[in-house]
Amino acid sequence: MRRPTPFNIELSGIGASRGVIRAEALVIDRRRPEVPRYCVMAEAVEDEVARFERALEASIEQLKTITDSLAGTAASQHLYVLEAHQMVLTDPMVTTGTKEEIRAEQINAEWALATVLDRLLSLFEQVEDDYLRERAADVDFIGQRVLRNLAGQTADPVSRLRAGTILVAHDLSPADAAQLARAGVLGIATDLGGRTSHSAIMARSLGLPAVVGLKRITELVRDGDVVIVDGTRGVVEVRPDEGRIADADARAAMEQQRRLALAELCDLPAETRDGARVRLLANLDLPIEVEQLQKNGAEGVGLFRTEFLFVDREHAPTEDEHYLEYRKLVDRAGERPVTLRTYDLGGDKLLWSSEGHRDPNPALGVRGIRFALRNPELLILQFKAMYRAGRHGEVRILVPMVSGLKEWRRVKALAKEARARLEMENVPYHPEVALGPMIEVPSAAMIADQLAGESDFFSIGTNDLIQYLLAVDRDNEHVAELYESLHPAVLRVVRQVIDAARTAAVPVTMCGEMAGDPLNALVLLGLGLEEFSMTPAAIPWVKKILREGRLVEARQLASHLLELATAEEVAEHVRDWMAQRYPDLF
Amino acid sequence: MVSGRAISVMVRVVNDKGLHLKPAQAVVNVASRFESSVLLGRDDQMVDAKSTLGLLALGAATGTELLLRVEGEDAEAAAEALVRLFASGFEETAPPAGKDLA
Repeated sequence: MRRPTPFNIELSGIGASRGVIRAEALVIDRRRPEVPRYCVMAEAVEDEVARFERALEASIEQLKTITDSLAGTAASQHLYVLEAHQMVLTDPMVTTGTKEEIRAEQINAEWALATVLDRLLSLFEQVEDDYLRERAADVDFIGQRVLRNLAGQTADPVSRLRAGTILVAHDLSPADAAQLARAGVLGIATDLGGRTSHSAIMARSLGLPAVVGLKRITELVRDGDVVIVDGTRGVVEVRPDEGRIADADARAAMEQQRRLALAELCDLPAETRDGARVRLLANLDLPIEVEQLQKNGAEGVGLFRTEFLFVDREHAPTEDEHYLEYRKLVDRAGERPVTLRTYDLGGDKLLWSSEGHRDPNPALGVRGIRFALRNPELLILQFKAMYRAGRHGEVRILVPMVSGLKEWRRVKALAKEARARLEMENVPYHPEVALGPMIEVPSAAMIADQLAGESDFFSIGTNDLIQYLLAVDRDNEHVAELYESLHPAVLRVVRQVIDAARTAAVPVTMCGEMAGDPLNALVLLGLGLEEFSMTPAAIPWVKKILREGRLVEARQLASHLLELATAEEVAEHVRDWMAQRYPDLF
Repeated sequence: MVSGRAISVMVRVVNDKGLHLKPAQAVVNVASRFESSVLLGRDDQMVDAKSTLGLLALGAATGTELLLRVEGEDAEAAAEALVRLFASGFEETAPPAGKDLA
């Protein structure tokens, strides 16, 4: 077989799921099939219109099949996306618009549809509203489906998936992601997406190496090209030469060995050599991810985000809907404790909410508990469901964005109200579910000692805490480099919160990215942290470091770091120290 | 060919969220009850008010003024119903029944 010349192109993206894999690429690019253009004779125009109608019907039918096949699976949470797609397929602008275009221009259906879609998309491009602008993706996506049906390729490109290949795609929809497992795909590389996109979450739960956000991977790769996906480093190599292939295979073998070695740690406690025992918990976004607990040896759920119950839905979830989701999670978690966090977004993310004003600065606006306190009935309803779920296992309730005691007391009053209503309605619940604030607003961190007296536990949310403490928006590329999780101010505040909690004998967890970075494991241990909550896949790595470390040296490391003056000095010291202490890991 | 009256009137988006999914669907529901053609938009960009997508693509935020152009037999009733819907901030509850009531 003729070997294509190596390219040795290396693209950097976001490592969404660890692991290294080399295989042939299978490119799925549904964005732009060639659109043919030809004229239609006057007497054949109505036939052309009928052809378009058949393609529309076929598309509606296919969507229905996908929707049905997803019901009750992990992806069923995303059915709303498919509903939006149905809306596009029946919209007169698309349907009548295309027919009129065929008749007026005496042009083939493909070209007429493409013209109508382009017009529609260019309208959407000018829209400022994020949610509305994203509808353009639905229009485009669905347009491509109808175009494929017109071309007679009824099959969805995803059905071309072959076992033993690396899937290269522009983006994956929830429907695609659900099919990956069955197809036997080995790895994933996409143009779009972030750590929390559907494809990333799905890849992690399937244990497939994945790199997302590569921007132009679909342009550079053709079917059959050899690619290397390195999800650990967030790098994809296209058509590597033999040297690079050998290198990647060696990395893959090493990664595999590490995995095996780490898997052996699964059932061992997170305990240092000198006997300090900590708890490693998991952050989860969806109930389905609960299987990750067992797989990675998580001792519980330190953060369960409940936003999926609210966002992109047409109606507010009912108390029973909340309850059933929490119950599902608590049941599957078994003996392990589960921390449920109340809704943490602004009202502008809720389609059904009347409080939809857009904050000019959402991070400092009406979000988290601020939104909840303005809509107390929503919070009471969520609390009720959480107290009900508390009967089925150890549940803790975590409340985001608390900034002071006045707010916290109102939260507790609403929690009491929720219990009173359950009592009145004669609904069984657990009255002693622990209630704690997320410590992520600097003001809450400063008064941690006072908050501790009125809280059952703390959870330090470092992502926002760092953002607010350093006044840096992580997503703003112009200041992103100022976002330093090892800034001396961050270390001091974290220590202060931990000290305040320990003085009051209040358990304290950390659930931000900071807690899941293996580099930070000993630093945080040295600062006194006893509960770490992180993305499940990070747990084995952090556990390995802790099991090989000692509390004594961690304390020395932490107290030395607290004397350093700049974030660079701290980061450099941590890197050097860890590289020397764990030469096989860093 | 459309016969009957043509009416043009300005309407204003007064609800908090702007012409979002729900409001757009409300407009489509009301507009679809009438035979008349109903266009909505700005001078350079008019869309079919019976199309949710078209309305969403207007990206009309709170406070936006839009031109409403209705043409057809029942233009008057249609314009009146839509003006009322906009003025109410799309609060108008679901229409009691379908087209026949119009």
